[in-house]
Amino acid sequence: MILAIEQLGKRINQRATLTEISFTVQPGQMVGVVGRNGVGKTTLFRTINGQCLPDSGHVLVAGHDLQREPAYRTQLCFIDPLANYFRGATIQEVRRDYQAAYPAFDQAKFDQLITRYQLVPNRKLRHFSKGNFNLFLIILAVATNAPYLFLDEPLDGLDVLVRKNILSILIDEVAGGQRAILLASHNLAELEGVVDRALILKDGRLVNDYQLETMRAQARKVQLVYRDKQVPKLLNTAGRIVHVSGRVIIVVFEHYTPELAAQLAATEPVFQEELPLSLTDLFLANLTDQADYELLA
Amino acid sequence: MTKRTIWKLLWRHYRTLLLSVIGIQILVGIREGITVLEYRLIPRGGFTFASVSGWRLAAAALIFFAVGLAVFLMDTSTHFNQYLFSLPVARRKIFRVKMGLIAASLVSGYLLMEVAYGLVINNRLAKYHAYWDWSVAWKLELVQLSMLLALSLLGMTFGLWLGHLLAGVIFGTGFACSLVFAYDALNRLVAAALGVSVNQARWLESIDARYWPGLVLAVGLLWLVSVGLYGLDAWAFDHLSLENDQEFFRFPSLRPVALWFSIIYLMITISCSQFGLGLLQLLTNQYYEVMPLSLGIVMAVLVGYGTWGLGRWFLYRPDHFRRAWTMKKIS
Repeated sequence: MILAIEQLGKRINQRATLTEISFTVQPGQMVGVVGRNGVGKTTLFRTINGQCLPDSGHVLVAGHDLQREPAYRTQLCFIDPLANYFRGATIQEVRRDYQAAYPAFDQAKFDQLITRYQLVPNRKLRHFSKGNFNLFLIILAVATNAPYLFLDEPLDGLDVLVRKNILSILIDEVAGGQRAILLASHNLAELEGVVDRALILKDGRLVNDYQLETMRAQARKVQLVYRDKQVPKLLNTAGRIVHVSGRVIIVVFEHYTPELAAQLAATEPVFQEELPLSLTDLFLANLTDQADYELLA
Repeated sequence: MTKRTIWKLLWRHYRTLLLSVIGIQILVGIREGITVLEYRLIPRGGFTFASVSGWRLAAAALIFFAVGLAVFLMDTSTHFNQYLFSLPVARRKIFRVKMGLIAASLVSGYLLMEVAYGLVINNRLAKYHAYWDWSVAWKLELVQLSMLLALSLLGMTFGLWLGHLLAGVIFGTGFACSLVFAYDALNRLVAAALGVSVNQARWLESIDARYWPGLVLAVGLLWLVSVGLYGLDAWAFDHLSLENDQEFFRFPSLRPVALWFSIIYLMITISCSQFGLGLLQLLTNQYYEVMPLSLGIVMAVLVGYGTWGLGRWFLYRPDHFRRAWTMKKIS
């Protein structure tokens, strides 16, 4: 059962927030949705899940258009951490509502996780700390048994131990091969090692769709030092500069080939070293624009 | 997801509000019954529920309108729609169940209020040589109930189309109250157009719902209004996109329609009604019968401009107050 997003477009306040977004997700994937503040990550999740209406495009689950066949919404679960009615409700009340909406709701799993994290079932959620509230949202989403989970900044405000536990829950869910999780987060360090794919959004467009394993095999992050402060053209044309400090330049090359290595050697750097490539580097490489570059320089 | 499941789900969510409203209506019924007995307001002969209905009707009107307004406004402010719109069911179906639940609760509350009222005075009717006139009572009840449902739908329209809690309450209440003046203004315009007196133009008041033709006409008109409002609300619920939740008006593409409707409505309602003419009389110290037409036109233009500026300010740019009053394009 594939989730396909086709040419999704959305304008807010006469500004294109999402433009022709297309991608597919299959169960068994952990996908990071990465982008700068206000780029449209939350809007993307809200639009896919029917809370915001798209101006164009479709969301298909196993080939069924969700707008025409809303019954397939049980395959998707997005609980908006910012806009939900939970504050005045108790855990049990919310559980009842989601049980009604998701026929495959796993109450045993829900109860087990609630007990494990010592959340009080009859307490109003407005009395919960930010971390516990976020934790509850994740438990609820996991318990719906929806094959596609959308989590917006899910680890925000959680302490290290809970964060670790939550990540292990999410990884277990995906490892079964029956579910896919899409995570939108600013905290790239948290996504590192968890997601196996990264969708990079820029100006409302999907600019890159990285399979991280392939990317790590192909790409290189190289630190270079030159005699003077002149940046060789090759660094800008073949790679993306992510950091400049004096004469030290750090560049990400997405397609690092032996030919490129030879061309790089021809620029005569006084020092050259390969550094470990992280998701943050990909983020910087894709989303750093001219203004940021000037700042870096 | 079955209709029953949605019904149960919505009932759980709204039950506190709806049960409170039913309770209040029953109390109002009992209270009015006691008042009728205390002040001996029962005339001899045929007695209907509508014979004495001041408090009950006022309370019911207030409750029907307030509940209609509150249910949708609350769902916006508490983000309950976020949940509703993610349900695996068409929005239209949710809307139908929601409307059914609200209407059923309001009608039940109204009927229970009438029953409570009837029970309180029933035993004393014989003492006053009065009896229930059922042949008329049900007709008047039907008209009242139809009117109350139309009022409730009007409240829902404001609750659904406006995203701001306070604005929804103020504008909804303002509009509902202004309908009296709009009706008066319309009569005056019709009278002027047909060359008849204003009283002759007030044909709505001559409808007597105690007789079949009047009943059919009154109920037909009220249901026509209700169906129109229902259609409007059903369309709105289907086309709600929640990024506009915090906007004053939740359908940005229809802003020009809302603006021009407000301008025309207020120009007619204020300038052509007893209210506007009375206001003009007060300002110019002249009887409106002898006032020159140009004065009325000036007033209409001023009202139109005022609505233009305020409308553009509210609808388009709350952060550009001064610009809203100019003729420049605003977006």
